[in-house]
Amino acid sequence: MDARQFRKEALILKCIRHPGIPVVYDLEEDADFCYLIEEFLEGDSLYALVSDMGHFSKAMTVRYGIQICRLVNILHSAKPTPILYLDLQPRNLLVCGDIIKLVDFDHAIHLDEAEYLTKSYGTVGCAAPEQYTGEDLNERTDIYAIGAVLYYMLTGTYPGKSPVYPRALIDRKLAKVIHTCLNEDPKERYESADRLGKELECIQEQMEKNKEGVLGKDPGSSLTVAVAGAFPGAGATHIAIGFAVYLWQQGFSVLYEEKNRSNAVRQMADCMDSIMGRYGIYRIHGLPMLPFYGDAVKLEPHPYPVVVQDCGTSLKAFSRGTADGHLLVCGSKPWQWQRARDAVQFLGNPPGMAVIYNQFCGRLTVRLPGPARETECFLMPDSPNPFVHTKAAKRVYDEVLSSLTGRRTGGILRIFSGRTEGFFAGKD
Amino acid sequence: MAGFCGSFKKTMPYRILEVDYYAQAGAKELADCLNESYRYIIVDYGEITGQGFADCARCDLKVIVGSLSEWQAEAFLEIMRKDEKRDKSWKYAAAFGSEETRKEIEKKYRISVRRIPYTKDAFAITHADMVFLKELLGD
Repeated sequence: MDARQFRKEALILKCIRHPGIPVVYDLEEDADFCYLIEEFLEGDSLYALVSDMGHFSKAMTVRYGIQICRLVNILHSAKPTPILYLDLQPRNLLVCGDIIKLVDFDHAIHLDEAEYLTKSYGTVGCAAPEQYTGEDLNERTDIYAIGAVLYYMLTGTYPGKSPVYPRALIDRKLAKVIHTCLNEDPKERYESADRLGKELECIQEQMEKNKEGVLGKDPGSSLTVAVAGAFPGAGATHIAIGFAVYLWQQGFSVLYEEKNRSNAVRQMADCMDSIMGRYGIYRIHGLPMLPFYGDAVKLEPHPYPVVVQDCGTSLKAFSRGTADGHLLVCGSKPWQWQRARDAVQFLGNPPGMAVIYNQFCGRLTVRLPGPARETECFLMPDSPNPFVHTKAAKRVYDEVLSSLTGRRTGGILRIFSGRTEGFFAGKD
Repeated sequence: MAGFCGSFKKTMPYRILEVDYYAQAGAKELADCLNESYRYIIVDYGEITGQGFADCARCDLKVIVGSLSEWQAEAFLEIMRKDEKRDKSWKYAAAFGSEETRKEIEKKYRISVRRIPYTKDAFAITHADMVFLKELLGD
C-alpha cells in the first residue's frame, strides 16, 4: 500500500465515530514506514468463529447481520460524501464481546471517487459482480457483500454464482433477504443498508415472539442456570458447555462459568492458545468461558445476562446458589440409578430443577427409575462434542429451554412429573 | 502478617486465601515443602546476597525484583554487573522507575525487565496482575 492510500485510510477512519469502528489515535511516518495508531481490539473474526463452529444459528446470524447493516449504514451516511467499504468479508469483521467491529479500511473510498477507480478490489466470494466487470460501484456493492457474509455465517461457505439455500440452515424469509442482496443486478438489491437492517429486525422480532417466557422478548434478559453432576464423570461439564453453546447459538449473550476446581477451562484455553480477556474470560470455539478463580482474584464484573454455572459435583453449591433453574446430570445406566436417586433425595427437589439422564442408550436402558415426584427429566443421547451439537442433542436442549421458559413443546421426549409413563418405571 | 490476617497458630504453616505461608523458613522447611504436594513453592529470599544467589540458582525460575527509581537503580545495576552466567530461567522485574531507564538497561544487558503492575493490595489479584504473572511464568 502506498503512503497516499495509507493516509486516505487514516482520514476515512478519523471522520467516523462509532462503537463498531476502531478509534484512530494518530498517524506517524518515518523514512521507511507509515504507522497507523488505532484502538486495540480483542476478539475473533467472523471467519475464525465460523471455521470453529461450522456455521452460526439463524438467531446469531440475524443478530450480527443487524449490527453489520448499522455499521455499513454509518459509512454510507458519512458527510460530506458517503464512504463505500468495498471489501466486506468475514475476515474483516471482528466479534469483540458481543459487538461486531469493522477493520481494515484500505480499500474504502468516497462515493465520488468510485468512477475513477482503476483497480478492482474485493474478496472472492464476497465481491459483487460489478467489482469484476468494472461497472459503476455504489452503496449496493456493499449490500451484495452483506448478503454474502450472511450466507457465510449460516452455511460456512460463500454463496458462489448460484447459491443454494439448504432448508435445514436457512428458512424461507431469510433466504429471500439474502437472495435479494445477492442479485446480480444492483438495482434489484436493497437500496440501502438501513432498509436491509430493518428487514432483518422484522425477522428477529418474529423469532422473539416464539421465545416468550422467562427470558421475555429480549434475549438480553437475565437468567442463571446451575448444572451439577450426581457423581464425578456424570457429564456435568459436558452438559453445561453444551447448553451454553446452544443458548449462544440461539442468540443469547451467554457465559459459561466454571464453579468447580476441575481447571477444565484453563486446560482448554491452553490447548486452544486462547488469550484471557478483560473480565478474566476466555473464548473457546467462540463461547465465552470464565474459569474458576480463587477469592484473591478481583476482576471487573462481567456483562453477560445469561450464565450457565458448572457446579461440578458440589450439590451444596448447586442448591444454595441463586440460580433461576437447576439441571442435575445423572447417569442413565442401570448401575448408576442409585446415585441418581441419592442425589435427588439429597437435594430435596429445589424449585425449577430438572434431571438430565446423560449418555442415554435405549437398547441398554429400557426403563429408568422414577426421580422425585415433580422433577422433570430429559434423556440426552451420547454427544461426543459439546461445542458441535448433534440433532438429537439440540432437540434435548430445545426442550430444556422450553422447560425453563415455561413453554414445553412436547415431541419425542418423555417428561415425567409425578406419574407413571409407559417408558418410565414408577416403582423405586 | 500471620497475626494480622487472623492466624494465631504457633506452628507453621499458616494459611491465607488458600496459600500456606512458612515464616523464616530454612533448608529444613524447604525440604519438607518439596515432599508435600505443592504445585508451586515460592521462596522469598529478600535482599539477595552471595549465598542467597547460590540458593536461588537452584530454583526452576528465578525472579530478581528491583526498583529503577533514580535513587534505587544502582543496587539493581550492581547485580547486573556481577559476572554471573545467567540463563533464561532468570527473570527481571521492576515496579518503579522511568520507561527510559528500563529500556536502557534492557538494551545494555540484553535482558527483558518486566514492569510489575501497580497494586494497592498484594492479596488482591487483578486482571493486570494475571496478565503479568502469566507472562512471567509462561516464557
